[in-house]
Amino acid sequence: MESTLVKLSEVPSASTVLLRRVADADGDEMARFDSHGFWPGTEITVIRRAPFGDPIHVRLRGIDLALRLEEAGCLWVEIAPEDEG
Amino acid sequence: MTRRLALVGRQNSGKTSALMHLTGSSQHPVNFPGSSVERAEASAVIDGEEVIWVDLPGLSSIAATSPDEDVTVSYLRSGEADALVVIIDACKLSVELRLLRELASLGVPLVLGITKEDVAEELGLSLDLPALSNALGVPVTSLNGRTGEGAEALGRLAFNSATTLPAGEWTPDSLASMVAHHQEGASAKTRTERLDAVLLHPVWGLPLFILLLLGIFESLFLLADPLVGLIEQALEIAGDWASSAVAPGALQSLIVDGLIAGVGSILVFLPQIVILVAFIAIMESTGYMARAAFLLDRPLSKVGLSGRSFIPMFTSFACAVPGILGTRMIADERARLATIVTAPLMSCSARLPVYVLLIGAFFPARWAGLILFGLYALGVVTAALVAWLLRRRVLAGGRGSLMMELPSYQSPNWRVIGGQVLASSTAFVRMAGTAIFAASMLIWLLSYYPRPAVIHEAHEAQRRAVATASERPEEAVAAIDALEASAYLEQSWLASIGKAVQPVFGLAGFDWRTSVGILAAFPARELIVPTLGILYSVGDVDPGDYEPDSLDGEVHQDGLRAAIRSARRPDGTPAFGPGVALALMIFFALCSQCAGTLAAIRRETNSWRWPAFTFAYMTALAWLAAVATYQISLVAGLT
Ligand SMILES: Nc1nc2c(ncn2[C@@H]2O[C@H](COP(=O)(O)OP(=O)(O)OP(=O)(O)O)[C@@H](O)[C@H]2O)c(=O)[nH]1
Ligand SMILES: [Mg+2]
Repeated sequence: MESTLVKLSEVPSASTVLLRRVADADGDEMARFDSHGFWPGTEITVIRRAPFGDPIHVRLRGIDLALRLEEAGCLWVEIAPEDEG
Repeated sequence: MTRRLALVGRQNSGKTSALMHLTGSSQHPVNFPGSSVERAEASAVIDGEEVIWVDLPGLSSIAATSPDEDVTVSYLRSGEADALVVIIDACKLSVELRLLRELASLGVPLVLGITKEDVAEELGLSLDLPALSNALGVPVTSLNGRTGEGAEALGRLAFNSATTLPAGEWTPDSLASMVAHHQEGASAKTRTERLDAVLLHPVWGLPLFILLLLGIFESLFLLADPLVGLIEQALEIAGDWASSAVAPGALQSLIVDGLIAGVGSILVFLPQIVILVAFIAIMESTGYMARAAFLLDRPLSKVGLSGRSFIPMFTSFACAVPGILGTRMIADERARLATIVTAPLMSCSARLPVYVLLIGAFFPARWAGLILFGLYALGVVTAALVAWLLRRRVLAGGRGSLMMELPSYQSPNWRVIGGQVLASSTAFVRMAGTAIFAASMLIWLLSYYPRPAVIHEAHEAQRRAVATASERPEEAVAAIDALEASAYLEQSWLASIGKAVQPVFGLAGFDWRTSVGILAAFPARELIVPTLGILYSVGDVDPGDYEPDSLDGEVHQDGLRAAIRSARRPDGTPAFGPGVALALMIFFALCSQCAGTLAAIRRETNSWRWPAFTFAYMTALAWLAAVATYQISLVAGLT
């Protein structure tokens, strides 16, 4: 089954996805993603959006994190199998 | 050589809590990531030997990306630490282990302290610590950062058994899944999830935040007012006592006009400051601060800041100095600078006495909370404008980043909050007893001298005249005494200074006494209160008029408030009115009047440019806004 990747910033609230790759981030950003557990294969749940739609509240590896849409745009994810229909 | 044991780990894992329990020293562990931005040390005795514990700012990676992380990394690289105690949050094992890998590359012996197992348990998660220790090849023990349970064992373990981490076959994920056990069916919503559903609600989240702030400002008056009244009464009694016990003259004036009216007038505001600090400490302790940063990130990004700027800005409501230090957790250098130079616009606790004094004197009580809120809002809005301008011009560029952890909610840690309140009230009282005392003495001296004999002779003649001619000689004499006092004041050294600068401030409606107050307040803004206390109480006291039965009843008006309400200019018009009061409060809201803040900016930016800029723009804005306010109030007939 071939699934297309989407940016985390486009994932609707209350859905769980799998991280596939991190792109378009500079060195510092890369280091921050890495140190917060954004490793390929990680399960990420988008919990909610802030009042103005940005930032988003995500959960991964037991960590709750606030992430700007701009940052979430660097994360390419796949809708997790158990979440599909 | 005393051994140095360093506490390292990711943000908010419990390092500062560990330091507190390991050494018994008073610390302020706070529930948001990036709360410690400086190295802290305290000593303790383990097995009869003294060791030094070092608390370091939280670190997510040794590829440090923000100034607080730089502090930690450069300390670790300096090789001063003899052993590391890696503090690991049980709930986040895999990312914690990733950092551990990096730390191991330093080659320093280490042990692991696992915190927040109680929180993990609520999530249905338990860790097999012996298995973890086996797999890693270093000692592991648990520590409850809330209660301190396990601290002693951790200390001894670090002292005796620290080992360098052997190169193992594990990866963070493999090891985490081996030692972390999830309980089946533990899927009920946690307390944090339930609270977030309300507090981070897309529609209600922000209104709730604003309501919370409004509630704080209202209670500053509601809760503190009775206490303020008590302190004022005590001061009044002290003043009456001094007037009767000490013969009229320089010494009596020094005590009554200098000490009690000066130092006393600022002490009155202790309750407000305690309440403000307590509220901020409670917010910090619960974990709500990071939520507020989440809610406000979008609006802040519009002016080139981020949710991360919110936390140092909010801390600045207590004092800008720790606020400016707190900006170290902002990775983006330009956003950090914009936060540093605008944080002093947040109304700090030193402005509170001025606000409370003038609002209480000139505005109805039901408006008090709202006006206070307005003054805080003025600072916030101005800061937003300044940040926006800076980020468009001088400090343009940089990519916005937030990436902030939202910690689990904690019930307020009353011990820590109590410690914080105690520390800030001690600092306040000490400041009143030293700097404010010295300044009050100087101001009193300048306001009391010179004392030319002609003034005395002229008034003495009048006194003799009314003593025989008047029907109510005591009252007439008291009136002449007051006139005499203000005649002295009008030709004092301080008056010459005040009258020299008054043209600058006259446009904002300030008389020479208030102008002196403003001058005196440049090193530290709270100095305005004792200065006004001294200057407006002169001519108000009648030496020798002490009667025991005047201790109760209406004599106890609200001190300085009553004095400035009834103060007159030489031409007989009131010195103050709502318009002048508003202009003065707005001046204080915006003006840069704090040497400590400027020094902190100098330190944090490593240049004189930014403190100079901050001083110039704030002072210019303050003056312009005060003049505009007064002139508008004249047109509107508010005086
Ligand atoms: N329930 C629980 N809370 C803990 C424990 N250890 C620490 N905390 C709480 O976690 C929060 C953070 O603690 P700190 O000691 O400030 O953490 P830190 O590692 O110094 O954080 P930074 O300086 O920001 O890196 C505080 O609210 C503590 O009360 C624990 O074992 N159990
Ligand atoms: Mg700390």
